[in-house]
Amino acid sequence: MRPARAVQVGLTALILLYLLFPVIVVLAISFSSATYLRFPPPGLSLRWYAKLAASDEWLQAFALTLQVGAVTTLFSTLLGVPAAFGLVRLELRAKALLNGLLLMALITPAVIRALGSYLFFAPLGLVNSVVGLACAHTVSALPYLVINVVASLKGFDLAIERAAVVHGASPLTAIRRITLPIIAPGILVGAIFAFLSSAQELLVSIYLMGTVRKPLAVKMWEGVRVAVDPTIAAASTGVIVMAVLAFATASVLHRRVRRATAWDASLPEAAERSPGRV
Amino acid sequence: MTGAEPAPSRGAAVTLARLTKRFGSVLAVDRVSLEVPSGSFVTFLGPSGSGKTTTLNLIAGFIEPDAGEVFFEGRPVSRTPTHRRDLGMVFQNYALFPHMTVFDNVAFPLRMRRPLARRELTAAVASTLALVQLTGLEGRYPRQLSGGQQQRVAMARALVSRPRLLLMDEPLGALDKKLREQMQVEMKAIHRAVGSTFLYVTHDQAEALAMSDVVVVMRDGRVEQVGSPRELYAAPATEFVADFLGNANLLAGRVTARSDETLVVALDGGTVLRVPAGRAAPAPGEGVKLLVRPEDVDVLVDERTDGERNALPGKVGEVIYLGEMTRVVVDTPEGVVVARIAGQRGGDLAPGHAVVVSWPPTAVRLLPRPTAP
Ligand SMILES: Nc1ncnc2c1ncn2[C@@H]1O[C@H](COP(=O)(O)OP(=O)(O)OP(=O)(O)O)[C@@H](O)[C@H]1O
Ligand SMILES: [Mg+2]
Repeated sequence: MRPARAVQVGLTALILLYLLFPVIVVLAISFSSATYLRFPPPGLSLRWYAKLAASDEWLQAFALTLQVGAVTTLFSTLLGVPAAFGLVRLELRAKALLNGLLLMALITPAVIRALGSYLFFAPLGLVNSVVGLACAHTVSALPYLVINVVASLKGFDLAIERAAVVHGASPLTAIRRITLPIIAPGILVGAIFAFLSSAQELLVSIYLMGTVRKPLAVKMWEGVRVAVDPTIAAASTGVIVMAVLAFATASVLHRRVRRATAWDASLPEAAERSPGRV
Repeated sequence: MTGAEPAPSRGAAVTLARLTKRFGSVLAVDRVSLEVPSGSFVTFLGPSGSGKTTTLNLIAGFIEPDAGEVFFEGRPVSRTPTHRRDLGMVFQNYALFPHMTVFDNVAFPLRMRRPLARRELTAAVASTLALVQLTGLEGRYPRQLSGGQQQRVAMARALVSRPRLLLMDEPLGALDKKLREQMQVEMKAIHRAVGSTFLYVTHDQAEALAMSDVVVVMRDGRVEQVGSPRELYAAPATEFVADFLGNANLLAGRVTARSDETLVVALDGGTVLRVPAGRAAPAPGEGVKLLVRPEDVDVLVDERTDGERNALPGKVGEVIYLGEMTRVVVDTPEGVVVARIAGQRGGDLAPGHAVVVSWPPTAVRLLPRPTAP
């Protein structure tokens, strides 16, 4: 290895270590045998995972987070994909304004967003409900989708969609059969970001869910304040695993989408496979 | 369509009536009117930015005209959306569907337009791939094909549903010269075989001359001249067309006298030439430009001037040997005159030699001289 390359590799490793350090600490503590948060752990055990699995409260928190996250992802995708098409394709005078509004959702301080959501949702009876919380989470999750899909659409060659239309596909069919499959990776990444943004959201969840049902983030926050034991670390590891799984699923799905969108089963001839395809 | 060999379809007759499209302050297409006969091969030729692509996009319906109308078979199509216009199109960068195999790319128009049973679909795709000489790659993805192969897939996709009108926007632009010339020949053969109307866009004059029944020369969004390749080359209406189609020697002058058969022209450098007066010959006093094609010009070393020929004395500037011919650039009092002399003559010419360039007066075309300041 030449010296320049060694420096490069060393630097990269240091930066990665710096970025991953909190994760490493949490992972290590979750397998700790000690009853308090200590790093490095004095010994190894799985007791905190066992405790987690045995706790209804933690399991419910997991379930609630998954539910809210799924609904948030769904809402953000349904709103975000068309919004991105609009922002890229339409000649809008207010484009800059719309972009600004979207980014505002990202940079508004969480406390203000939480208070605003509460004041807006409470009269509508949307507090203490999964859909209500998902609606509130969608506000901050939406920009991730829009930004990702806008980027994909800007890189997408419009001539490909036009080629579909000129050869007989209605504009909607062309988008469904051609454009969406091609930009699917961008949508997927946006959806994952949306899910993760919902999963880690704390303040809005506290305001809208009170103390009755707690998603993971709230439960963990309370855990840190009330009972400082490595269960939190185990739960955090759960969240990390969830994120990693999400990205892994995305990459697998992406490859599948590539292969499967070649054609679908809605046409009579598709029952048999073409000779060229294996 | 039932068998593997679909009958040639009748091409659509297309009419453009004062078609106009403006982008901001740019008049991209300016009152373009044109009759395209059914089944013909018509090429839009023009420099970059002359409005060729915009015209094609207006015909396809990707964009709407600000004024004017497109007619297919005499019927206006402004109310017909693109996907119902029964078109095929080859894009400059091919625009193949990257997530579909060659088979699915080519089958796409059939699937959209007329659902067929599997056997018929396979047969139709196979016969079209055979037409473009691309068989056996049905299972590949576009990214696994060479540029030339992708081009053929794009052709097959455009042709497979036998549309009555085919639009092609510089389809050979990305290929190397040799492949381009080969595809030009194949494209003509395909045109004869399918019988559709072909509307072709290029900025390559040799391509336009080689393939087209009719060439439409465009300039700044307007139609400069319409005609067969021979008409345009032999009888360009303007200096722009003369210059754009092939090489042209243009000599500026003024008519000094006119009889029934002859025109006397005093060139700006002082030379006086006699040329045949055409039917619409300019009157004495009017400015003209004389067009002489390089292949009509001869270069002689001795001073002998045959009274029949137009002649200019000069000095050889450059001699460029091109194999089947030699290009000789000669500096004359009237400006640079380029000659193309065939075969191996010209081997004894070298820069600096005093020569006489000459041409038969019948080879001269008279062009109006723009009355610019
Ligand atoms: N979408 C657009 N917005 C603004 N101006 C445009 C647009 N499309 C084309 N133009 C302008 O219209 C004019 C004609 O463009 P067009 O693409 O039709 O030219 P072209 O003849 O196809 O050129 P080329 O040989 O370079 O492809 C150009 O001046 C171009 O800048
Ligand atoms: Mg163009």
